[in-house]
Amino acid sequence: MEKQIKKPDVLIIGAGPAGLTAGIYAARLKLDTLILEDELVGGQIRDASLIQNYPGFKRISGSELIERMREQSVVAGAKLDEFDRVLLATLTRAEKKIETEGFIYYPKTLIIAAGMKQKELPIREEKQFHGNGIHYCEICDGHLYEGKEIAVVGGGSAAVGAAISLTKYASRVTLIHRSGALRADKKSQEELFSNPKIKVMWNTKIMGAFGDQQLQTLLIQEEAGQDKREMKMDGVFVYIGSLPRTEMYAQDLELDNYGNIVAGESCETNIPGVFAAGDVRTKKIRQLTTAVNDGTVAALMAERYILELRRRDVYDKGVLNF
Amino acid sequence: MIKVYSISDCSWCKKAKSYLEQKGVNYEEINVEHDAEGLKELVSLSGQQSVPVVNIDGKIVIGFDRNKIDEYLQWHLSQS
Repeated sequence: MEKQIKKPDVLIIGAGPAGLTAGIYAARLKLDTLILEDELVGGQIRDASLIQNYPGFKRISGSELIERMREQSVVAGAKLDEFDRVLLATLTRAEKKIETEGFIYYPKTLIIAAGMKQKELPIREEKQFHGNGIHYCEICDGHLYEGKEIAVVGGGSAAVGAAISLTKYASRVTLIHRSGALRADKKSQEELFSNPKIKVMWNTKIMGAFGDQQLQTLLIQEEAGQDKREMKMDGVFVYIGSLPRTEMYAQDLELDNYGNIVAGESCETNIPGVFAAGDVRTKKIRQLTTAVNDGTVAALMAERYILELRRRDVYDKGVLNF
Repeated sequence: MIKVYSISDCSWCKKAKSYLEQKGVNYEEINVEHDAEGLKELVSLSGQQSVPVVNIDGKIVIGFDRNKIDEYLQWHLSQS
């Protein structure tokens, strides 16, 4: 069966904070707006158990904030498709073609706000213990470790937040970090260090994992060059960074060495009418607030681009054909 | 028979349930957070402990795997 063709004004790929904000703005500008998300609406921030640095909210969970953003975008008039996957993107100045499992889209403008994906634990046994001791979501899987001993890997806000959150279940949480300093904000670090259930292992790497069906033992190396040793562990939760979801656009868009889409504060990419917003864009600071900023800018720039297209169309042909 | 093994605050579980609802199929939800027997059943069927797990007539889908759910649902609907 041939796929149906659709031509929205604005197609937004990704329904994290950047994509949903772009959706709110674009829909309120009366642009025909569609947001595609084949993973979780909200992206990585959805799993944040507590957000305390988003203006207007002293304390709010990631899932609650995202539900509010989702509702606001839909109320504004944006359409949200959570069950379709982008297969192919062909982007030129003249035409933007996005093929999904269900449709072929020719949007007037495209906003890529696809976010990041979590890096997997780089050991050979990852696949063997994935879901059986190696996990990536404390909200989803933390309850499996009631009264057990678990490790959290990483040194950023996600790792520190997860370690604190997992003390609800585990008898003991060991934070394993490859360097000697954490990147998480100071308040979270204070909470971490004052929690009697949490121990931190500095300059330590996980080199392997053992067990029958379920993880039982980690192989760790405490300092570079030191001997490896085994450590009993019931489970490990991994937060060692993320990679931008941009592979699909690499042939058409300029990417930096880390895979981020090269775009300045106007969110414009090297192809007119294609914008990058949120974590996929080249920038130094990646925060919820900067993602929301990008979503705003990208939608307003998309409107300008569409208005310019319309002006040109009137000038060239004397008619509006869309 | 379609069962979804889930816990309360799991976003992928919600997405899996929302997908089945969008497809118009009925399912039984087993919240393994509060159901020790359900958790045993989950482990014995899927060989692991993560949720969501969708059981479609004995065919097991671990995680929210839309293509597999579609494939097993097609079979399920052809039998009913």
